[in-house]
Amino acid sequence: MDEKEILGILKDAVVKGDEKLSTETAKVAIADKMDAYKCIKEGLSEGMAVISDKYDKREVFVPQILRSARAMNMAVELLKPYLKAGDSKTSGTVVIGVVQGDIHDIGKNLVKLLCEAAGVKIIDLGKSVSIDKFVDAAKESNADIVGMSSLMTTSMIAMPDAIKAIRDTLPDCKIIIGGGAVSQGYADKIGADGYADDAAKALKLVESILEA
Amino acid sequence: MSDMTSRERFIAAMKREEVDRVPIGPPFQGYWALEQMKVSVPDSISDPKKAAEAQISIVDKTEMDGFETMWDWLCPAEAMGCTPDIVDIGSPSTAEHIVSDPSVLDKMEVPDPSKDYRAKSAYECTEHIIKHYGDDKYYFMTLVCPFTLVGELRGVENLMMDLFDQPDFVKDMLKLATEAIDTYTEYFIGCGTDGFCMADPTASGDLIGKEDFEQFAMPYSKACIDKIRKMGGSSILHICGNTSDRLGAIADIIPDVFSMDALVDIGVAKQEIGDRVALLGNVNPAETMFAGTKEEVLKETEDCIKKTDGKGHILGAGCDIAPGTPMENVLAWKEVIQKI
Repeated sequence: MDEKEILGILKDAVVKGDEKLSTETAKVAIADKMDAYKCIKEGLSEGMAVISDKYDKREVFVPQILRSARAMNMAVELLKPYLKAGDSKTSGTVVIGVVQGDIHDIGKNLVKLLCEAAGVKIIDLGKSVSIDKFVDAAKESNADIVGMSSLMTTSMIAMPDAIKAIRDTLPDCKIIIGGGAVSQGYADKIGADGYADDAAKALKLVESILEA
Repeated sequence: MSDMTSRERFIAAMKREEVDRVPIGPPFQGYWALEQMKVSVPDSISDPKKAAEAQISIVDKTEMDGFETMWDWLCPAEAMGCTPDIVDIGSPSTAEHIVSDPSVLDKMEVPDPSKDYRAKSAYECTEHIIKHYGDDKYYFMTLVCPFTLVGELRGVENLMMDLFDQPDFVKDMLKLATEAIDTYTEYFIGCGTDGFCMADPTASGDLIGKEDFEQFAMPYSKACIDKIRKMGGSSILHICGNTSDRLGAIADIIPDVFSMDALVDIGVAKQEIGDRVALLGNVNPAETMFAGTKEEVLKETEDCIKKTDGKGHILGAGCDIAPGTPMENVLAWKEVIQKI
């Protein structure tokens, strides 16, 4: 198999969510001494981009994305030892978490998966994250963006205070929100810099902010 | 016609018959009522009379025609072994999932609701409320659907992977969850409730596709709703997310009422399934009810009712009335229905 073929199979394996195919192909790539970073960037990540796009169009749903992410992550684990210093350039840093009082983190995890696949550094604070934790993590990492998610209407109430606290400390940091409980209108009302209604759009939003 | 009681109005709307005005019957407003009346969730569980009084005060103020007398919809998850996270304000959630692997399931049993402290409290709360209003109002109890309950037992992310990796295991969990919920509805029907609001947020149109919905959510919700009907109760089915692509399948579950997310155009739902089920909804709960002005609520509510011509329509938000929602915004509903 030539390089192009291998990259194509890596991409397809992720799209299909076939972890057997993705890991076997990664092993072939390693045996062929292919560039590990290229395998991730031009093979596996491309597959995640396809699946993310399909999700956006409602052609696939969360189970399919998770399966693709597993196929990608298992292959990445094999390729990791072969990455060279300087390979892991990132386009920016995003602090992400589910706001306090909410432990529904599936949407946040999807945003993390898609962003990492696209080369964005993610600092994941997990679920039920306090306002102070958001502020401290953003300060420490000099984050470009803070992303807050809320699935429960009960927890979205914390967002306006969190936005104020982050703005007070880091005026240049952009704040974006998402999750089942909130909407573009809500984001506008509480003064967030952006909103995305699903993980695929969240990645596009992050990329557009980082490029600006 | 103009002498309809709340109860008559709610039942007529549910049967898609003529009404003097659209009934108000929002789902998932109990936690908001507790917050408004400053009753903490732990207190509401330990003192069901206090919880009932809080809900009665709110019902009087807002003039709801039908409403929940039980809001602790996830109580079976704790009874089946999950560790809950019960906070002062808002719905308890599941902190730890019990089914770490398939072998755990073999040891699990159908819980006994009469030994579940949360179910017992909801039962007593319902009795208090029904004793207060008698035949004036319409009562329902909010309970989790099997697919969502399995998500609580197993963890939602694990469940999503299991749909591919071990579908038979998912079906075994669903069977147990269905049996558990049937046991709960059987127990609750004894306290005099008219019916149940069956909530399936994890079967959301934004989480799983139509095929998975039809295979893993629909048959089990349908079994629970069939059971409720056999016992003489009514059912409101609530599913979160954009379910526009599967409205037919939802109507096939045959609930009396479909309560939809604000992401669904209620006019489209009316056209597609309005001859088979009554519709509940669907003012935006976050943008409009929680964060909007009274004027925005008035306008969106009016638009919403216009889309159904007010027939076979119960007015509510597209999901819960969140704690923190201004009272003024809920009171706005009274103005709209009197005008139309």
